[in-house]
Amino acid sequence: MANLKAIRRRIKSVQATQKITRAMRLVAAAKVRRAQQRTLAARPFTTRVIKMLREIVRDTAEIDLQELPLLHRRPIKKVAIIVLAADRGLCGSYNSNIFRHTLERVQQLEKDGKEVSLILVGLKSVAFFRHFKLTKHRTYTLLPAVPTVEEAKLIAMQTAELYVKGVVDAVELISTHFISLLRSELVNTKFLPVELPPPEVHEALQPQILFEPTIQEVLELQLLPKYIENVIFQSLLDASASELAARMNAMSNASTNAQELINTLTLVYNKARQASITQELLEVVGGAEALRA
Amino acid sequence: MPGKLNLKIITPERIVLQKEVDQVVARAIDGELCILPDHEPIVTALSIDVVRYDVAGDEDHAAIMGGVLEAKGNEVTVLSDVAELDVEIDVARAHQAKAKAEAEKTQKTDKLEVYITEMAISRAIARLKAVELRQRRRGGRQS
Repeated sequence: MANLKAIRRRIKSVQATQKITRAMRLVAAAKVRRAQQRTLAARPFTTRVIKMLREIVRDTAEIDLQELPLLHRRPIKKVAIIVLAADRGLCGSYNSNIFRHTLERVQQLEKDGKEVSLILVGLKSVAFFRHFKLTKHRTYTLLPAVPTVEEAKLIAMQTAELYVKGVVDAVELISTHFISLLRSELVNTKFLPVELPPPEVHEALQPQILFEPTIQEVLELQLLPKYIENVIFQSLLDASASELAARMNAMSNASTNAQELINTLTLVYNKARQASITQELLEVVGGAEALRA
Repeated sequence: MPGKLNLKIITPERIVLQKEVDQVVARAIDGELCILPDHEPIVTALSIDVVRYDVAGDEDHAAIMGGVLEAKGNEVTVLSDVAELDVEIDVARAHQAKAKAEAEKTQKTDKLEVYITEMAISRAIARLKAVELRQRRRGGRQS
């Protein structure tokens, strides 16, 4: 029966797909562990750098910070958005969530009369935004699965340059914050200029912070480069961990679905086989009866 | 009895050290400074060198490859790209790195390249210094 053959072929193909999804799940699971460790290990450093910088900016008079272009605030007209997405697909809604959020943000900014441009990370984001009429400053693709400080440095420096030169007045970063293997959250970070903490009531007699040798040198040589590098580095790490976790979940779902499909198909196949055997038996018996009569 | 300092050395890879200490001596880019409990809030840039800290009269060391030191209240935080405690340092590797960098320096003419090799040399020296300080301490204790 032609039907039987078709079902058999279908089962075979689903089995082959399942093999692939299972292998991808295992690979992602192996990688995600390492990515997760690195992400969590880097977090204390990043939070400290951000906290330190914010406190310093808050507690120092504006005049002292004037000579630092990276801290220069100006009226925001042109906004660049860094979109951190994956190089590869097959990771559930990971990429599309990022793109949806980015488009919403772009529309919102454009409604406010701002000029929006993009800095794209990941092949998928390049492919997605190819048809949009938005300025793209730079694109970074094919980053290693576990990002290193070098990539972060490159992205950070080139972005900072755009800001210092006045090509853009603010930089936002849309990426994914890794919470657990099952959860990650989209975050929109105001990357540049440095965001200030909510104003607190200053305690009276708060001692002034000393700077050795000068505030310019401390900030310019150490803290600011560390800040821009590590915010990006942390986001890259978070993104890679989230991507792998998303892929692992997507592939695990796919494998389960494939198994279900195989089970249903096998049932249908057996029923059809049984039916055809019964049919043949009936024919044979019927034939014998006819001969005897 | 003054309070204690809570010293933290953090790098992007890990928290290298978190400890109660009595005092911290570090070399900033313009000279050495010592931080005792109840120091005024200070932020300073560190050079590539050794940070020394005292725990109950005993001195320990960590090699710090540049970074920032912040003291606030009795919290001392050192943020650095790379930091190693003296016990963790691979002496043979540091020696090798120093020799290699010194050999390379003689061949480089470009200013930037010379600078890069000089940085490598000072990193190796900082590591070796931390180890040496530790050995000296231990030797002193044994005799």
